[in-house]
Parts: sequence; C-alpha cells; structure tokens
Amino acid sequence: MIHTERLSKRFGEFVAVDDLTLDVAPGETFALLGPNGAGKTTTVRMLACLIAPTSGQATVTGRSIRVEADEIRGRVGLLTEAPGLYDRLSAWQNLMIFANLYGVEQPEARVEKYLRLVELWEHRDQATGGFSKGMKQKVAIARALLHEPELLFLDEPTSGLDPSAAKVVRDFLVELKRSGRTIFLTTHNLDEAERLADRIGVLNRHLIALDTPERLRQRLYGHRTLVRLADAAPALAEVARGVPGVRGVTWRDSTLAVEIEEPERDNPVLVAALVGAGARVQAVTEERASLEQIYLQLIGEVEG
Amino acid sequence: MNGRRIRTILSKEWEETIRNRTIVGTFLFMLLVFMGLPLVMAFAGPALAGDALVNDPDIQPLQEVLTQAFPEFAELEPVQQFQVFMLRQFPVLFLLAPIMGAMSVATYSIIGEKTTRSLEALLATPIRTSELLLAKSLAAAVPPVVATWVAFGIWALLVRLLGGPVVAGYALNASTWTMMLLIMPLVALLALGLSVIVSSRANDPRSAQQVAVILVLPIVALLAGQLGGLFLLGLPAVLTGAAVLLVVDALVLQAGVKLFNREAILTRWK
Repeated sequence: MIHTERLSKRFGEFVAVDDLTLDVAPGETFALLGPNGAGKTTTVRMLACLIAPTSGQATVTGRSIRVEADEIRGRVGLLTEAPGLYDRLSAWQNLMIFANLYGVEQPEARVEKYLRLVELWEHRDQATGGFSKGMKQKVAIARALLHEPELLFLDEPTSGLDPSAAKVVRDFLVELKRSGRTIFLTTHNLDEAERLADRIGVLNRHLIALDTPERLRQRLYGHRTLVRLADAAPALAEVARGVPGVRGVTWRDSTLAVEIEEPERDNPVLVAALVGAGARVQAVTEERASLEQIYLQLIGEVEG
Repeated sequence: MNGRRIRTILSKEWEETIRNRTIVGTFLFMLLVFMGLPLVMAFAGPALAGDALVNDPDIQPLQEVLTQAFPEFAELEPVQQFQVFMLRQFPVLFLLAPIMGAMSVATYSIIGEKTTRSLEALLATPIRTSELLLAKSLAAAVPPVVATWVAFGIWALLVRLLGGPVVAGYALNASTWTMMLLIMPLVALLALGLSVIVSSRANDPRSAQQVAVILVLPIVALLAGQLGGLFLLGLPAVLTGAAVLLVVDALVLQAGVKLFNREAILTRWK
C-alpha cells in the first residue's frame, strides 16, 4: 500500500526526514513513533501528497507521489493533528463540504452514515464551535473516512484530548483496524501504538527501527525470566548460570532475573535446576519490557 | 477546473461570511454612509442653509473648475451648480466599499483557516490550489462588487429623483459610470491580491486589513484633490487609471498565486 525508497525532505539546510525506506502492506496498521521534530508529520504530509519530497521515491496505493498526487489525495484519508473544523458551520455542513470535494456520489447518504458511525447524528445541526474536543475529533475522523479511502493517515489522533475522549477515539480506531483498513498512524502515545499497530517504526529524522513491537522488544531486551525465591542464597545464581541457554543472571532483592534464549525451552530446565539445588521457588514470571522502555532506549542510542 | 469543487468552496465561504455579523454589518453600514453622505450634502445642505451655502466664497472657485470643463455648466442655477459639484465628488467613495469588503472576507477566510488549522484538511482533498484560490477570490470579491453596484444604482436613482434630469446628467456622466463599472472591480481585485499576500504572513485578520491603507490613501487623495479644486476626474483620467490598475492587478495577483501553493501554505505561511 505504501512503499518509500530513500525518501528525504529538507527545508533549506534543515533535514526534516532523511533516507526513509519502508513498506506498509494492505490491511496493516503501522505506527510511526518519534520525538517532537522527528519528521513524523512531514512524512505523513509527503505521503498524503501535501508537500513534495526533496529526494527519493514513494508510491501510495500503487501510485507515484511525484506524478499522481491528485489521484492519491482522492484515495487516501488524512486526520490532521488539529481537527480544523469550520466552527461556524454545523457538523452536517462540515462533512457535506468534504463529501463534495471528494466527489462522493449521494453525499447526503454518506454523511449520514458516518455521522451515525461516530455517534454524532443527533448533533448534526449544531455548530461545531460548541463541540467538545472529543466530538470535534470524531467529526474530523468522519471527515477523513467520508470517501471511504483505501488508506488512512492519522496524525496524532488523540493529541490534546482528555483521557476519556482519547479512549473514545482509540476504541473507534480499534474498530477501524478490525474493518481491515490500512492505517498509517503517528503518535506520541506508546500504549496507543502498541494496542493498534501491527508494526512500529521509530523515526528521528531517519528510521531508527522498524519491526513488530514484540520483535523490537526481543531484539533490545531478549527474554527475561524472574524467579522469586524464599531465600536469596548467592550460590543459586551460579546454579542458574550453569543452565544451557542462560545468558546472564542478576539479583533483585530475593528475585533472580535470568536472561534466557528461549523461554519455552529454557524455563523448565532453569526451574528444575534451582529446585534441585534446594531453592524454594515462590513465583516464576516473564518480564516484558514496555514499549516506552524500548522507545527510550532507541531514541537514547541515537541521541546519546 | 472542477465546477463542483469550486461551487462547494464558494458556498462554504458565503455560508461562513453570512454568519460573520461584523463583516456583513460593517460593510452594509459603510455602503449606507457612502450613499447617504453625498445626498445629504447636495440636497439637504442647500435646503437647510439656503443661499449662504450655495454662494459660499470658498465654493465658488471650485465650481469654476467644473465650468471650465463643461462650459454649459455656467447656465445652471446656482443651487444646481452646487448640487452637481457635490455629487461629482463622492462617487469616489464607492471605491472604498469593495476594498474593505473584499479584504475583510479574504483575510478572514484565509487567516481564519490558518488559525483554526482547517487549511490542511482542505488541502488534503483532491482540490487543486488554483481551484481553491479561484473559489476564495470569487467568494471574497463578487459580493462586495455586486453590492456596491446595487448601492450605486440605488444612489443614481435617488440622484435622478431628487436632482432631476439636468443635475443627474452632470453628476452621473461617462467618467462616473466608467469608474464604477471598470475601476471599482479592478480595485476589488487589487485588494484581493494584497489580501492573499498579506494573509500568508499575518495571523490576525484585523492586522492584515491595515494594508488596506495602501489602497485607501490614494482614493482619499483623489477625493481631497477634487474637493480642493486641484483636478476633475474626467473620462481620460479614469481610463488611464484603469489601464494602470490592470497592470498592477496582474502583478499583484501573480505574486499571490505564487504564494498560494500547498507546500508554501503548509510550511512557509506563519
């Protein structure tokens, strides 16, 4: 659905996006993470054909962003960072404008469909200036979906929303993902990225990492098993180190943190060895690095 | 050019403008003043002040300017001479209406979209920037120009009714009509072009409208020059002015079109 090859954007001397190469498959939800100024919005704007790349190539929905920009704009939806509604106009009028701009046939029926979908049908005649942030964001989402695009770009969809409004929007995005639509998401919210995205890209002007959240976790942190013991005998660490597949062992109070290669294969052997050495095992758990830890480590490596 | 997209933006702009009472109210009030002021001065003035005003020594030399231009003017009665003199000065004021109207609508429209950040969503649609600029320009220029024509038409009718055919004949001659039909739309276009240029940098419509002074000052100078007896705007002067305006319009609009492209709007407009 999206293919970019060494895509770059410079504003004078400033490099906003550098050598971005990635693919997004049809039906995939892809999240682009990165700090402020990392080039996320610039990437979305290039792919949505709002600005032209300085160098490199990209195809979106199988079309070149350099040659078929008008065509692409008609086939993708963009949820901008700010809802950007016409506050003096009603929700109905706002959406009718965009239905007509996108050339939707029977625009009234389509607008009704999406106003009902985002549960704003009862408020359709109210001026959007009086809407809450969450309601405005829902109108903006409906606006991005009106022409039923093949690909949806969501630029910080829950930015600036209070937690309850953000949850409403996030739940709606989960529904969208289930409908099989291709989604390209930029976000600061790592929990949101983990819940929604099949794959994650970490961008800091250039792409630092690109994989599924699970593989990124494994790549950076490996697998770690925590064994809580009744007695913290130092000799038990040596027993754990002797187990095949164990890469490292550290004590955390009365808990052994054991880095292992394959949990399914190595954990039973590890527990048996510890019990055999007289350890009284109280609990065995797998430690999962949060996406936040992964993200901070990746960004830290680049900036550090 | 896609007609449906242009019509959509046009109707959106008008829907929003109609809901902006400040713009509509100020514009209509201005038109009423421009219509009423010359009529009051030309017809109510002599009726209230009598011969003292008509024979005022300060006005006499000014009326001689008209007599030089139109020898038959001397044959009119003094009160008619006074009325013609007054009525010929003020149509210039009608040029101010489309400037203020077009600039208000255009700056609110473009800067308004910048501040509410609605332009990005609009630019993400298949609309071409030329279609967007055309629609916004038509939306900003057509209502003030048409409204000013209507107001001037009513004013001309009132001049004919109150002043009779002789006064109306002198007051509403070829230069006056040419100014209204040719110069006035060109001035509105100039206001539009300047609005686009200024809107690319300004974040407040009111501060952007201050640039209107650039256009208002020459018009006020025209009015002052005529009232001071320095010159009389005849048909050759009006036609020359129209030609100059046409060239200036083309240059300013060209600069505006250059600024009005997706990338510039999203990355360089502040």
